[in-house]
Amino acid sequence: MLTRVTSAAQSVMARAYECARRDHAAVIGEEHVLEALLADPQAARVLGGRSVVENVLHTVRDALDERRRKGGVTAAEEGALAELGINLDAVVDQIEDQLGAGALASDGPKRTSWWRRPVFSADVVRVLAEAERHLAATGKRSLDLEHLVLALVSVPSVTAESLARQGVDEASLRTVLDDEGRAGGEGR
Amino acid sequence: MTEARALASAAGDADPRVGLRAVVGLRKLVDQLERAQVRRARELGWSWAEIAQELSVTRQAAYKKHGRR
Repeated sequence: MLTRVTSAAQSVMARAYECARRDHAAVIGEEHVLEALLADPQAARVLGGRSVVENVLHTVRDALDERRRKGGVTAAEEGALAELGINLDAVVDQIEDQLGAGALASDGPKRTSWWRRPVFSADVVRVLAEAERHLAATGKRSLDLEHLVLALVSVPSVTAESLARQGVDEASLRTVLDDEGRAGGEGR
Repeated sequence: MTEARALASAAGDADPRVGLRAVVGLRKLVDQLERAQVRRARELGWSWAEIAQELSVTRQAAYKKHGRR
């Protein structure tokens, strides 16, 4: 079954695609979805305002760059390696000393030719699946921005982590969304 | 039974999930390190045969994985 998507949510995803193309990225990542949401006044407001989202966007970009620099090893995997006595920071520093800065950078998924269309990253696919679950739970007919932002904070990721650090989590979003729903009806 | 369990927990009382995550992390690290080292060897003029020998794989396997770039 195909999910219906509101035009607002559609244009956010289209903008995320454009952001990925601009970066010559092979994948549409969380940072692109976040940037697209930032450009939507309603979404930015729900997520705590432009400055909060801009802040989070910076954090997410830095964190993703750091992950790429570490060969795509996630924070959780880095912690697991530490349990084995492997200090990934030290290993990466050492390798960069020998082979130059960015030696381990997983440049594969980062940059691509202009003619190759970016596809959703695994993380974004998880977010979209979660958004559908939120849609099913609300009983609405079309996937809207509210389901996207809820999914963004409820799927464990760099984005969700840094949003939570700014006080934006599923509970706070639900409060804001409830208030908006009561105050403005549909809104658009 | 309890003895076996005690042994097992002494051998590795960590959550298997953590151990498996470490495996995935190591695999990513190995892949990227291999790519970087092979590229460096090529830049220094190493042949595919020499690289393959050091990596303990066939020349064809090394070229198939790292060639054409």
